[in-house]
Amino acid sequence: MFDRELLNLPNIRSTLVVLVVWSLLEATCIVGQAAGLSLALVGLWEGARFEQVIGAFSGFSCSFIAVRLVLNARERFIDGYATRVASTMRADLFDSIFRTGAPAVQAFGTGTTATMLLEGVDKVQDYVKLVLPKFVNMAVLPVVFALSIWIADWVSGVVVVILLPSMILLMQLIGKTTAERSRAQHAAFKVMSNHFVDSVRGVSTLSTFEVSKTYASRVFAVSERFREATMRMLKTATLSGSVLDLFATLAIAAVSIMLGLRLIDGSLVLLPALFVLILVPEYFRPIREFASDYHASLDGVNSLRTIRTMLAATNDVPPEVDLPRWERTSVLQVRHLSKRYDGVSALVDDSFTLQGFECIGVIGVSGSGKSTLLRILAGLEDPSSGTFVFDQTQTTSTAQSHGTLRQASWQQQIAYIPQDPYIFRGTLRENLTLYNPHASDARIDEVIDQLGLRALVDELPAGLLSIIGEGGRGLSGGQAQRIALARVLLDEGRTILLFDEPTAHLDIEMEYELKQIMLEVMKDKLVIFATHRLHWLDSFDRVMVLEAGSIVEEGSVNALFEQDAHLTRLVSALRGGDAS
Amino acid sequence: MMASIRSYLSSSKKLLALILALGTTTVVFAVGLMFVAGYLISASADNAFSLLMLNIPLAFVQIFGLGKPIVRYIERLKSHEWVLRLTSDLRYKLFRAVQAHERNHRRFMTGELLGSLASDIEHVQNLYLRTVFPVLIAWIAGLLLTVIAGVCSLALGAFALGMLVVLCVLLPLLALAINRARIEGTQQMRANLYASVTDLVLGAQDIAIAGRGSEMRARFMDRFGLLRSQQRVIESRDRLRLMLVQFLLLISLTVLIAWATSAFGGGRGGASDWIVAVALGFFPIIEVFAPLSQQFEEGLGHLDALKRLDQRDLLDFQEDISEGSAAPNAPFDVRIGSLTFAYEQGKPALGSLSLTIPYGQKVAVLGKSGSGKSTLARLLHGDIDPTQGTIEIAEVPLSDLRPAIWDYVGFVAQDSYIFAMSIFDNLRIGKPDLSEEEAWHALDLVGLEAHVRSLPDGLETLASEAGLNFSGGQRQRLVLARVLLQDPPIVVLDEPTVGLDPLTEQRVLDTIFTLFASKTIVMITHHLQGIDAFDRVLFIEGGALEMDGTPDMLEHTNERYRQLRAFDRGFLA
Repeated sequence: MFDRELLNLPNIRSTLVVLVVWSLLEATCIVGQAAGLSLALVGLWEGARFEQVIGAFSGFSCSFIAVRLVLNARERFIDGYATRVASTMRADLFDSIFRTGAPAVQAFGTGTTATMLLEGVDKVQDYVKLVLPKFVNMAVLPVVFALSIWIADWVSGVVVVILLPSMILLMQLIGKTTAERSRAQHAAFKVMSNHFVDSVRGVSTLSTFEVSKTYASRVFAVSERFREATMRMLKTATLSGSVLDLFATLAIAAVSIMLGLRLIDGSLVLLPALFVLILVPEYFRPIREFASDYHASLDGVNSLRTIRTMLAATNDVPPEVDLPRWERTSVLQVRHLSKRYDGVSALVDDSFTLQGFECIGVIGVSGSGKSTLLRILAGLEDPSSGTFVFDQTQTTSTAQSHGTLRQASWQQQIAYIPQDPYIFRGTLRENLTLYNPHASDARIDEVIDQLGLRALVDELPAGLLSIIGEGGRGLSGGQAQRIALARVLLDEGRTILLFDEPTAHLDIEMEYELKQIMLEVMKDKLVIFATHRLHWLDSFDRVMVLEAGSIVEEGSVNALFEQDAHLTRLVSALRGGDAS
Repeated sequence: MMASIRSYLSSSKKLLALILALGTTTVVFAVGLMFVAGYLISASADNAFSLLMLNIPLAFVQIFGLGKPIVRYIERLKSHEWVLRLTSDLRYKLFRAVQAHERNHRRFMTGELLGSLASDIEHVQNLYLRTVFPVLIAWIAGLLLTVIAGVCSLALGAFALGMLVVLCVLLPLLALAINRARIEGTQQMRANLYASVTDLVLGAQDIAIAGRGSEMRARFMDRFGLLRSQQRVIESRDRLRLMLVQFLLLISLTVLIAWATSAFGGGRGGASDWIVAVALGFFPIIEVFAPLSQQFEEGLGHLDALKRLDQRDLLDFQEDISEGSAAPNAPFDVRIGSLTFAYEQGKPALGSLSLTIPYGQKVAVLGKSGSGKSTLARLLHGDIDPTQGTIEIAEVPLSDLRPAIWDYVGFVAQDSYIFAMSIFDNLRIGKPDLSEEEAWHALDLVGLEAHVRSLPDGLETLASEAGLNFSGGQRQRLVLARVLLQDPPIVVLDEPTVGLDPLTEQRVLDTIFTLFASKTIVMITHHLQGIDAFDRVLFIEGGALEMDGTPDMLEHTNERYRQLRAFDRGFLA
């Protein structure tokens, strides 16, 4: 499978030219091998002693070894190229993953992104390394061999030249029917293997119903059903390989019979006949080798395409702006902010102002747009429309306006803390100092005490240097939140805190403890806090009530309760409708 | 060979033998074709030969030419069938083993571990298809050819045997010995690197916010470079080995031709025809033996997967356990006496807990995470057994109820599993002889009927993997429907509403109270939403009972409860 997509690889044309040269060398060696061997064998056949044909046999031996030398050299060449391609691709992907706002992850999700960065690039590398030389071989070797056969015996030349296109035609015919089936088989395989993982994961649920004994038989039955389906599929899917096989062996049989008949009637002598017979299997070898890598090439091309789309889609970097530092007097006006996902509105024309170090609650039920608003303010997503106007009255008199907060100079100042903060696999110290790797030990110690993390540090086998996160020691929800807060305290430049429902999943006493600590951290910061836990209400200077993506109410909590409108209704609903 | 597949190997001997026989036949046919073709043309070149005498070689050429691809085709199908049967067998065993493991070790396995077990099975498939079968077939065919060579000449036979041992045993083993440590090191390195990178991508947004993207990129590109350079060392050794194999093959061919010349040569044509036949017959052998070492190395990685399956001790498990046959009678009061439970290593999660829950009582169990409240839930539905003390339902100990326990105690977990089956099949787990009518009725009671009716496939809609098709509230409703169909007198719920927003949470709680109005409800919860609807509140701390009373009573008499209650209701309580 040669794909146009390939032509976009860097230096691909010159690489292909070099590969063609290597293929020509390989072909020459193989022809030399056939010529040397047939000369030697004909000599022996005519009654010569082995020493008498040593010249021809040496020619054969040298060619035989030279083939391997050529293959090894070509492998080293293409390996270098494939590695360069892969590492450039990986570097570009890393860029689009870690660039401000993590655009790749945003657009394609963590799953696809990680898969492409790792296995995807590997597949492209394999494809370039394995499939490309075989592809070039398929184009070069048969031509050289057909010519050689033609020169030795033109009748055989005609036969093999006619055989190849009809073989390719037949291949395509079979390929069309099997491609469909092999796709279907792949899908069936996915379902099957998901089903198994699924049942195994749910085993604790199943055992509460004590159906798992019967369920085990069911797993077996599904697996067996899959086996039968696969066997049906394989019967046709392996057919194309077998047909190639059949063509190659039948061609050998047919050519040898034809040569035999012409030798008998004297229109041919042994030397060219032997030469042709040795070359015929070689003639079919490239296409058979290529066909056996069909799946690798399919995977490679698909990955190449996905990675390209990914890189292209994440290429639009907003021009870098140096946003002012957020201070007590700073003002940010957000105007006509809207966000749509696939035509569904998450935020509708919201305008509001953020000022200095105030603490703003964002209140609303699930799906009202709280999280979207926070992610846009964190510069993790671009709004569909809207502007952000900075008015730094103290330092400049001119207002700056922007369409997105996806700016490094903004993200340096913020911390975004969701329900389950990211704890990466690394030491506790590395996790604490994510925002500021240069934090001093003394300061870290101070913050650990301030946030009540001392017990955790003492409990861990290697203290601050213990590995935590996935694969390491698991942390409770409260501990993860504390680490996220410690990161903020350890980087004094972070004066804007964005919380997205940080305590709802904690048990109530833990929540109470954590709240006291959070209130400390929130002092002298701009805080935007999305929650549906009502006890936070009295900590907010101001509240915005969101309903279906719109800010329906804004003001101090007391003022809004006096209005007796949206906030009052929401609070009574959240309390379980028991009071109003 | 390995514990996990031994029984399968012995039960499938015939098929295995057939596969090996077919594989060997393929090699013999391929060699035969070139051999006969070589003889055919050189014999034809003898002018003394007549068309008639060519009939036998002609027939053989046709048989080999047609036969080889056909036999190969059958062999491929049969070997896939064998491997797929093995897979089914392993899956069944693994599934049973995981169940037994979870019960015997009193803890659940992580999803990651389970996923890797499943992928190990895929490795076992590849081990057989790509390594075991081709290598075995090469050995058998090699021995067969050696015997033929030995029949022709003892010296030639000895040489062939020597070459076979070098090519098929010594060289692969040598390559393995040299490369093994490095290959394993590289595999380990790759696994670590890939795990770290995946972890990094999960936190990409935080890395970006921290402004440390380019630092991470540089660090990981270095590690990728290091991995690649390790792989390159292995690959360049592979190339060296291929060169060596090529030399050995050349020597073999030279010896073969020299022997044939001494045996048959000397005159034009006639016996000399065999020289050509023997030389050409050698070429298909190259294709069989050249890739052997490579297949060996590839098998190494898959073999580890098989070892992992064995090491986990999973596949030798004991079917548990004593089965009771007691049938308690209503009323189904639950009595817990001096209940103590400790996990395998560590301090007791519950210490000497005693209480009675009369039938029909609605009990909320509160406590910090780690207080032992979830352990209590698991003990109550018999998922784990007490270390000491008893749990009785209507005066029958829980242990005597097994396996009918589930007729008396229903369980809704935090993350009750929705299977990747149809909605109907998911419900049928609660009641095996479920009718469609009952299913709709249950869905109606949990408030899902309208939603399911609106789906194009209705009850047959696939609840996609892990139930992603449903919102959190809908998932729990589906799970509730399952328990409802099971219809036990006692329902234990372990934080059934965690992760739901308060509005949805309240609705789910309302549904629970309506559905199970006449039953005993024991609900573990982490906050106080809807607490007033319960008859009784238990507060567990450090594995012991800290508070016990009606919500009303606690509100009046217990300062701590009052504080928490005020905190939960928030401002303007």
